[in-house]
Amino acid sequence: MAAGEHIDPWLSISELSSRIRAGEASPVEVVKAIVERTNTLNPVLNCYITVDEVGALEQAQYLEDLLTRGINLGPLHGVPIALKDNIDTAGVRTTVGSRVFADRVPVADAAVVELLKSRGAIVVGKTNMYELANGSWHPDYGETRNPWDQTRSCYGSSGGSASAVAAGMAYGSLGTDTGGSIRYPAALCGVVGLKPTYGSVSRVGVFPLSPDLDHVGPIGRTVADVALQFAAISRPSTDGEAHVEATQYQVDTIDDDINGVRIGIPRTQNDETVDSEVQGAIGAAIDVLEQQGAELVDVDVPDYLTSCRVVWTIFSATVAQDHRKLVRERPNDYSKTLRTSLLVGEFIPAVDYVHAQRLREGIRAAYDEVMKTVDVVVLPVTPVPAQKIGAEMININGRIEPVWPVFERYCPQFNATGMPALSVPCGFSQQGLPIAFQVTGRSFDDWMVLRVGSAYQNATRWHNSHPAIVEP
Amino acid sequence: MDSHVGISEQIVRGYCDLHGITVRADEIQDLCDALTDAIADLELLRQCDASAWEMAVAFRVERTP
Repeated sequence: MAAGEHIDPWLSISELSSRIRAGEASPVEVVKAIVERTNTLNPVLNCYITVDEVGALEQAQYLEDLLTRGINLGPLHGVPIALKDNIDTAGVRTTVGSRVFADRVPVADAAVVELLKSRGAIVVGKTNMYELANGSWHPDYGETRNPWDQTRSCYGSSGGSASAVAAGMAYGSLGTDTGGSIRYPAALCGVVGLKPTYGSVSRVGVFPLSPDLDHVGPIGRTVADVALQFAAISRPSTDGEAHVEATQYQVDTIDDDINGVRIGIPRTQNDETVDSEVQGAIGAAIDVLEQQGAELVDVDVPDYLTSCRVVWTIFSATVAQDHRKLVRERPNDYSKTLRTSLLVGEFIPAVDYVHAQRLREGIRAAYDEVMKTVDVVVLPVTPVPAQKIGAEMININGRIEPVWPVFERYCPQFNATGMPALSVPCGFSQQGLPIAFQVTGRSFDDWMVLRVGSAYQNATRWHNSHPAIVEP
Repeated sequence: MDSHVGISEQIVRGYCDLHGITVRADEIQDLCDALTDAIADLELLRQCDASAWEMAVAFRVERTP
């Protein structure tokens, strides 16, 4: 038997943690098992850009030594976690999915990495991502595959982080989300992803895309796994950049019942812009939440596509400004797709940028009012399940639509408002592809969002399904 | 040739020259197409003045025009 072969890659973080605490599994064995699985599956799925086997084993040995001295750092002690490759790791290259930064080795860990390590998590590697987290995969790194169907995309930009967790190549991961980049791949890969409230997780040491829209957040196979990671990273950072308010350590509250919790259902929920299978799965999920005692309330929310365009305008102009110098100096180190996107950003007039920021305030104000009447709002993450790699058009109930902005219509609004938003798996299409719903809530009420997601998972079994990956 | 419907190659080239941007000959058309789509999206946003205002007013939020 190979080292660590008996370590089940599908254990939840709390199950793994219990085994480590009980001495039934050692951090070193766990890391060896994950690395072995990753070495087998990564050539198929392309989840990781860098696997830090040496660093992870050193970290595991240190944590194992602590256990022998009776020191346990908590529920993440000895748990292998993957990080999107735009999150700095001291001594481990951090490429941001870009040729420009292909050889960049940070000297310090990002604030979230410091926090994870201080809670005992083991960084097993750096996951593949869209080039600079912006819109497409760089050819140097290739596209991450969806573990449920390798001909399909897991979308981005945190696709590697979601696919790795879905494929059992990590027990949890961190991604970043500027317009839905944690929630889309989590939904399409059948795992849970949280975009926390803006400001509740430090972005220090995380490569920026559009700083006033960027969020760092966890991905896991269960809401509880996501909550454990969120609890570890949602702390005030020493630099004063993060401003955590009510988002403190409340993991235990996610198992509180949702009796009387008011769930807003947008009146535009079940229109022709959502695939009928997705509508059906989300409708069934809402029924489950109602059976748990939640009260359903019809609400009006701002127009989705307008919100998409607002976010696109702000971030396109911001990214273009950030890369204005580099793209002139090193144009060949950007992919053609991103180079074009950056140039388009340079053409956005300042008046349109200001206008978009004002519209953003309107969206935020509208949601503030909605959230006075309900505790959370439930809506889709994507209108269709995972699409074939390279698809530019999607078929929604017989209507052919462009992938952008139609596919992304439900997520960017919460980057504009800063509200927490959670993607929760809720079924499969007839083709066996994951479907998810999204829960959003008041800013700094992430724990209510997690509580609703947890109530759903406690009543259902979708999260226990795992992909059968065809190995080479 | 400047036969493209939408933003013209001439305008794009002029802007790029003015701002020191090098665009390859085989990429200029893709840039024109992307800009045409982007301008269409911006135009839709420009029409949102009233809807944004109404959206805020509908929820009785005080805003300064």
